[in-house]
Amino acid sequence: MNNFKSAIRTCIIFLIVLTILSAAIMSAFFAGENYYYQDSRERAELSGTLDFFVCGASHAMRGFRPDIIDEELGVNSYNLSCSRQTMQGRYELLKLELNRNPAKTVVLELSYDSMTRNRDEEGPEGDIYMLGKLGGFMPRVKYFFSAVRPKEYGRMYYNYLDNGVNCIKKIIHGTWKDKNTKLEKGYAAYKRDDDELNQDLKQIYHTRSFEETIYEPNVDYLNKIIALCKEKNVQLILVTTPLSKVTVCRYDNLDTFREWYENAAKENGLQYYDFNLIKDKEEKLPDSSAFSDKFHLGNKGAGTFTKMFTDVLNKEAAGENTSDLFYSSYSELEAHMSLDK
Amino acid sequence: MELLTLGFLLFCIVLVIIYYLVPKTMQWWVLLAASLYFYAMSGIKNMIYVLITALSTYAATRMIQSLTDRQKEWIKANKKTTSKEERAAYKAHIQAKRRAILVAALLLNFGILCTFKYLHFLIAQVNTVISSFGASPINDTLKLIIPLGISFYTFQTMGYLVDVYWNKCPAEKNFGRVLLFVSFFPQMTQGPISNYKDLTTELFKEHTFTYHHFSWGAQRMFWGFFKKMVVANVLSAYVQDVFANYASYSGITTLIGAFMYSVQIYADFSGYMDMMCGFCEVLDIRLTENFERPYFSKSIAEYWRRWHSSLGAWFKTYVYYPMAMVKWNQRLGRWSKQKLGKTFGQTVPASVALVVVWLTTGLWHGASWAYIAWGGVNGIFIIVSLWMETVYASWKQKLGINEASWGWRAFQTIRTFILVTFIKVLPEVGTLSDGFGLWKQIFTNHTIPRSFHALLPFVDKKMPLLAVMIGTILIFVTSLIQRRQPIRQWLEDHTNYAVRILIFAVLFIVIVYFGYPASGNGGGFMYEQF
Repeated sequence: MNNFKSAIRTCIIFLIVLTILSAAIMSAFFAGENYYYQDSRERAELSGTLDFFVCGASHAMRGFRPDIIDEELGVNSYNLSCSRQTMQGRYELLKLELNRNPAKTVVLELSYDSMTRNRDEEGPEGDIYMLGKLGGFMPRVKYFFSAVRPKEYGRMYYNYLDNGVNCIKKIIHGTWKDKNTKLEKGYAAYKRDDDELNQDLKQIYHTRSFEETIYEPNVDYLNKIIALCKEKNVQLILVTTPLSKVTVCRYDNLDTFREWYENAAKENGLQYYDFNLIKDKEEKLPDSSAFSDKFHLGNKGAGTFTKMFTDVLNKEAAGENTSDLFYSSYSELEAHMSLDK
Repeated sequence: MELLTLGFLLFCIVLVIIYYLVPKTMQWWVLLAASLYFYAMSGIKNMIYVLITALSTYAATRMIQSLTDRQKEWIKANKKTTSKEERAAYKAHIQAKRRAILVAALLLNFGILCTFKYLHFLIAQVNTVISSFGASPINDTLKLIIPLGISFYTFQTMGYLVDVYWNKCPAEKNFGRVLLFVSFFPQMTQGPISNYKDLTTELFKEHTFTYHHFSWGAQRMFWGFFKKMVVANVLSAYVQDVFANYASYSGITTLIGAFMYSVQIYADFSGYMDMMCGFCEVLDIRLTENFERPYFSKSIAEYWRRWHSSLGAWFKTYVYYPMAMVKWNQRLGRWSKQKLGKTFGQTVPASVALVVVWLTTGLWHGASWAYIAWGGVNGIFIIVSLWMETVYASWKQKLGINEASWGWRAFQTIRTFILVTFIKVLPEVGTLSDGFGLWKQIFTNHTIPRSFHALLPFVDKKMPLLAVMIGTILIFVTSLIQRRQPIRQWLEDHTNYAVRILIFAVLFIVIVYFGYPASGNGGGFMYEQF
C-alpha cells in the first residue's frame, strides 16, 4: 500500500512541477504578444454597446476595419474574427456577443475553405486564439471541452509551449517591443511581403483547385449561426472577402464555393456578397498595393475594401439594385479579366 | 495502436491499474486480454495469423510432448521385457513422429511468414529468370500486407517448438499461456525475441507493485520517448533526404548522412526497447535486453552480440549451433584440417554455419538482394576476422600494440563504428545498386561544401539540429556512465528526489517541444518493418 501511495504522490508532484514549468514558459505568450486576450478585454469593456459584428477567419480579421464601418454606417461595430477561426468558434463567439449586446447586424465571412477545413488541419491552432478571445474562465473551459478532442490535447499543449518559446526568443533577441499588435476593435493591420504576388498569371492560370470535400460539422455550425441570428432577430449577411488576383487566377473551382454560399443564402433568405466578383475590384484593389499576401488584404486594401462593402450596404439600404455591381460568376469575371498584370 | 500517442499512454495506465488490482494469479489473464486488444487495434485480420501460429504451436508442442511422455512410459514399463535393439527401434519410431510434427509445424509457420514476406520477392526473381528465357512473367497481383510483428512472433514461437523438441522445456498445457507468450504486446512488434523459459518465468510469476519498479520503469520509458522522438524522428527526416538525393550531395554530406543513420536507427530501436522494457518493469516483468551499448564494440562480431542481441542469440541457438554440428559439416571440418591445416581447417564448420546465419539474418531483415548482401557483408567481416585471428595477434605482437591501452581500444571502437555504419546503409538507400552508389559517392565526390547550407542542405528550420546534437551527446554520455553502473542508479546516487522530478519534468517538455511527431515522416518504428 505504501508503494502505491508513494507512486501516486510522485505522479502528483511530477504533474505539479510540470504544470509550473509549462506555465512559466507559456506565461510570456499570455502576458505579451497574445492580443487575443487584449481583444477579449476590449470587448468586455464595450459590452452592451455594440450593434454590428463581423465574424470570420483571418481574411475577415485582416479585411474589415470597424472604424470605417462605424463612420460609414453609423453603427458601433466590432470585428470578432481571428486567424484559423473554426465555424464552431464563430458560432460560440457570436452566441456570447449577441447575448450581451444589442446587435442588429452580423457579417459572416465565408471563404473557400470555411466549409471544407476539418479539425485536423488547423483546428487546435485556431482554438488557441479562440480560447484567448472568449471572455471568462467558464466559457473557455466549456469551449475547450466541446471543441478540442482528447487526441488533440498533446497538440494544444505543444502549440501553447511553442507560442511561449517564441515570445521568450523575442525577449532574448530584443524584439519584445513589438509584442503588442495594435488593435482597433478586433481589426489588426497586417504587414507581410509575399513574393508570390508577383507571378506570371498566364503560367499559373487554373493550375490548382481548392479542396471540395465538405466537413459536415462546419455546415451544422453555419446552420446554427443562421438559427441564432433569426432567434435574436439579427440581420445576417454572408460575405466572401477579396482574394488577390494571383489566387483568383490560380484556382479553378471558386465557382463551386460561390454556388454553395449562394444556395445557402437563398434557402435562408439572406444576402450573400462575393467581393472577388465586384466589378471594380481589380482597379481598386490591385495586388501590388492592396494585398499583404496572396490571401489577405493589407491595411490600405482593408480600408478600401471596407469602404466598398459599406457602400454596397448603403446602396442596398437605399433600395438600389446592387447585383449590377457584381459579376454573376467567376467564369464571367475571368471573361473580363486580363492576365497581363 | 500507435505507441507515441495519448491513447497508448492511457491504455498503459489503465492496464497497470487493473493488473495490480486483480488477484495475482489472474494477472497474466489481464496481460493476455491487453495483448489481444492491442493486436486487434492493428486489424482484426492480423489476429487470425497470431491465432494460427499460437494454435499450431500449441498443438505441435502438445503432440511432441505426449510422444516424449509415451516413449518414457513405454521404456519404463518395458525395460525388463525388451532388448536394447527393440527399445532403440521404438525410440527411432517415436523420434521420427516427433520430427514429422516439428517439421510440419515449422513449415506451416515459416510458410505463413514466407508467404507474406518473401512471395513478392520470389515471384520477382522467378520472373527475372523466366523472362531471360523469353517466357512471359508470372502476374503478381497479390496484395499482401505483412501482419504486425510476424517476423518476431514467428521466430519466438519456433524457438519454443524446437526447445520442446529438444526437451529443453516441457510443453505448456494451457493454451491461454501459449497465446500470451506469442502475443505479449510489448515485445510483439519489435522484439526482443525471448525464449519460452525466460519469458514465461517472468509472465506467470506473481507480481507485486513496488515503488522502485514503478519509478525506474517510468524513468526508462521517458528516456525511450526522448531517444525516439527527439533524436530518431528528427534524424529520420534528414537521413531520408540524404538517401533520396545522395547523388546530388557531396561525399562529406553523404558521409554525415550515413553517420546520422547509425545514430537514428540506434535511437529508434533502443528507444523502443527502453519504452517497452520500462513499461514491463512497472509491471514487474523483466524483458530480455536487446542492447548493450553496441557502438562501444571493438569488433563486428562483438557488435552483433550487443546489438539486437536476442535475434543474435536466436540464430546462434537455432541455426548456428545445429549447422556447425551437423554431420556433413563436421566431416567437412575434418577434411579441411587434413587438407588446409589445423588452424584454418578447424574454422571451416563455423564459417559455413556463419554463412548460413548471415544470409538468413539478411533475409529476415527484408526480402531484397540489398538485405541479403548486407547479411553477406557482415558475415564476410566476421568470417575473415575468424580466419585472421592468429595473423592479427602476431602483427599486434610485432608492432608492440598494448591491447589494454586506451588508445588501442578507442581505435577499435571507432573503426568498428565506421565499418558498421557503412554496412548498415547498404540496404537502406533503396536497391543494392543505390547502396553501392552511396558508398561510391562518399569515396569519390570530394567537393568541399562552402557553406553550412551546402554541407547540411537537408537541415530544416522546423526540425532543430541543435536539439538532435544535444540529444545524441546525451545518449553518448549516458552510455559512458552505464559502463560503470545503470544510469538510473547513478541518478539516484547523485541527485535527490526533487532534482529527479525536475529533470524528468524538463525531459517531458523537451520531448513535447522538440520531439518530431510519430506519424508521417519518420513515423513508426524502423524495426516494425522487419
